[in-house]
Amino acid sequence: MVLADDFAGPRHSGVEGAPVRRRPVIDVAVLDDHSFSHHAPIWWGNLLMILIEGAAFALLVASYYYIRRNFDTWPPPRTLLPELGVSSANVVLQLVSLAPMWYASKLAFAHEPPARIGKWLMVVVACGVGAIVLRGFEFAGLHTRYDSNAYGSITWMILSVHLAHLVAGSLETLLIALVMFIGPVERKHYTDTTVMAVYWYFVVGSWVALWLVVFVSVRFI
Amino acid sequence: MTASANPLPAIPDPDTRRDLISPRDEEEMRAKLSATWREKSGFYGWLTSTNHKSIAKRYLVTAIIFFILGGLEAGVMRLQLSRPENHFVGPDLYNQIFTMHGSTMMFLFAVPVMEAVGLYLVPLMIGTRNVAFPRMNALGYWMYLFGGVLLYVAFFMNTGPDAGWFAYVPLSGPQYSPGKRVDIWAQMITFTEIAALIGAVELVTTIFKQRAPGMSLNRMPLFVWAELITSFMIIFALPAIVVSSTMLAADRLVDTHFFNPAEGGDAILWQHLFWFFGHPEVYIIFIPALGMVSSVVEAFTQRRIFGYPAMILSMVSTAFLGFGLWVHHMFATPLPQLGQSFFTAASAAISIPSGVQIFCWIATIWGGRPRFSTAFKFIIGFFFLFIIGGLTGVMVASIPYDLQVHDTFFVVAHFHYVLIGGAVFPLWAGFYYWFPKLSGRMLSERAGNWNFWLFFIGMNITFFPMHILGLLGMPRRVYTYLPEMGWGGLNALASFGAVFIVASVCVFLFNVWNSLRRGIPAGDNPWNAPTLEWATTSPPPSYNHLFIPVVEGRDPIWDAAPGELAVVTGLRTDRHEGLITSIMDAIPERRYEFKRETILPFLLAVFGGGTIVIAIFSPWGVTVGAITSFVILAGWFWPTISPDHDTPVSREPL
Repeated sequence: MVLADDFAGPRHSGVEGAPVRRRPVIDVAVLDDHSFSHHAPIWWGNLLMILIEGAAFALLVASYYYIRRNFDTWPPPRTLLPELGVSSANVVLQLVSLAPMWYASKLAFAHEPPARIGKWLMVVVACGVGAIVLRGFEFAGLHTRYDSNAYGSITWMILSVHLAHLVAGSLETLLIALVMFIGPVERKHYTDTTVMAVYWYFVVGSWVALWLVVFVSVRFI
Repeated sequence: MTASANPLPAIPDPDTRRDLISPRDEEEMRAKLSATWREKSGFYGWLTSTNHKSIAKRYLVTAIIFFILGGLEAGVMRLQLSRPENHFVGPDLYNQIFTMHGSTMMFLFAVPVMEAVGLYLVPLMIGTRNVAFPRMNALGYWMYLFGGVLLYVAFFMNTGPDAGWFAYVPLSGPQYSPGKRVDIWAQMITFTEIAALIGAVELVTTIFKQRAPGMSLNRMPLFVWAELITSFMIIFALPAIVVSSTMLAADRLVDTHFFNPAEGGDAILWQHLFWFFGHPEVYIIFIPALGMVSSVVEAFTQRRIFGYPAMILSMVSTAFLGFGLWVHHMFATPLPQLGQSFFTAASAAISIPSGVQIFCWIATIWGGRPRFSTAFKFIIGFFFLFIIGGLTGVMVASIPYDLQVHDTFFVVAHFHYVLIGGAVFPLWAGFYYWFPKLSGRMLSERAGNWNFWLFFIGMNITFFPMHILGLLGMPRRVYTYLPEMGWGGLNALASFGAVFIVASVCVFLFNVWNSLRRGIPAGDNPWNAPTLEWATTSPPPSYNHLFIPVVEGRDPIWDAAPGELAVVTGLRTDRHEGLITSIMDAIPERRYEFKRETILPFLLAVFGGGTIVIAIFSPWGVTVGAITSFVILAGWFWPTISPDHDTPVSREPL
């Protein structure tokens, strides 16, 4: 009988019969309209974007090792190993860029003056530009071309897709920095700064993983 | 700041409740909200709208138009195959038509229509005023529209893709498909994948953060669960087609060698990547349909759904298993046998959660008082057809059987039973169920009855003989066959069945047109349904609910006190404001301002879309598009001064 009661239908004929009256039970006027972290929808939008792009990177890595199976030697014959020097420098530079980004984010959480945040964001942009320049040397250091063979295609694609992230991340950071300098700055732009930081961590973190695949693991497999 | 540190409880004690809101105050509220949320009129207003209902309705109409186009292509194929050695269309056009049919139905109809229903209903069902990112939502629609238009413009210029909807390499590669046909396909994919991903991000964020107070996760309507699970599937499955279509386009445009075996590339890699997307795609179409079935069953049996937790777990496990099945499309490739056996097991295992759900629905109907309206008939039809499709699915999951029927009409029969039975029938049920909410008018039950029976009979006459044709050895994707093969009779029968389907769709379109003109007014809740979309007027006002409702049970309307609705007060009415609640328990945390309408999403779609089209011909299209897109995005992001905005921060000089 309990089961039947549990799954019984509606207790009444819904709102159709009598005109429905509304009873206020919660007043939300006291709530703030500014939020950080997982309270903010934009934080979630950014996280889901990271999931999408992370999945794409994972599939690129899977493709890299899948293509590996078609070759007897890796890299293919008459192809030099990719340069470790310049790519490692890029890893270091990007890791260094985490610090100003983290600091800008910390300032934003504390609602510090926008110009201060903007300055640190510009440091990140400078690192980003540096990483983009180094990426050019990394392409050269692959010692293969995208149209040489499948090894060239997949390594160029991985570097290019990550390059697109570096460019997009740097431009977005620049944009937020400009807002911080020019304004009018609203509290939501602080949230944007902290969300931008999360995205930048992803861009850098994914490069560490991709660097391990393209420049390090190639020496062992 | 202090207030936000202590979120408000989702459901306060009964004694803290205040008096009912007077009709005069409600009238005042209505006037304010209508003024703030009024949509701009005229063509410009149409281009700039960011209201989730307006955009979802466009999605629906566009998807139905593509459904009709895809159906007409199917009609042409049935005419061509109705007798042996027919010369109604030639092999080249036939290749384009079956590719267009598959691509249209999968990318331009099934996935968008399921997201569209979600984008329309989810905010209403969870009691919020708009989706989380209204401008992105508009962008998604424009991308989808432009992708579809690109495909059809190309088709009418005799450049329609012709390598099948899954565009296998090497056929689709530069060597065997010169010209631009496959590039059109790849870029149509780019457009629709952007749209689908945007829709998924919208739905997850909206469902996570904007549920009405009290709608904890374990009270969420099953349809909302279905859309949530589907959105996560989109997020993890679509990147595979992003990656693979980009590789294909690069192979064709800039001579990379991803799929070129001569240079170490791999044709099987394409199949892995495509089906890692392609198989979850089937469940991306099917899981929202499951949510629709649950909604319709609950309303038309007037009984709470049986086994709510089992239903959710089934959908979640279907989604997980859906990612472990892709190789069953590839049993005819030289893959290791042990690996193939794993995929057989996984394919067979997925029938378990499907079975659990079907038994839960049967239990609900068993203990309820079913009303055999048109919507409910489509549900019964769904059971029948989907079980047939599911059984043939278990058959083709077995490797030796699959090798016999691979690439034959048996497979065509199987997936049409699954997709039409499993997705189109629930969609139609949902359409008859929710149309009154969407339009404020009832659809005719008499016409609906014809709609159902014609489609049900036609569908079986068309597709059942294909099982037998497949067993007789008729391969799919052949433009004609010889009389001595003995396939003529069954093909004629299948083509005859298509007449019923066409008639059914005509009845349906007439029903919609007639109802919009002179249908019976629906009232707020014509079916006495339990979920929140029925707690507002039909059609809903632009702001959805007059007050954000407070939910006190799994079936909010049925659980509310008679004639009374608990609501939230205190949201600002002078701007587009909504309520942010916690993920698990939907406890009010913050107020939230939605972005307003703007032309920027349309512009971004025009320029970004232009880029994608240019990229068919030159890689520089990507560079041009990246720059224009950034300029538009900067405009999108750049702050504007308006009294609407939140407190500006004082600026310190550099």
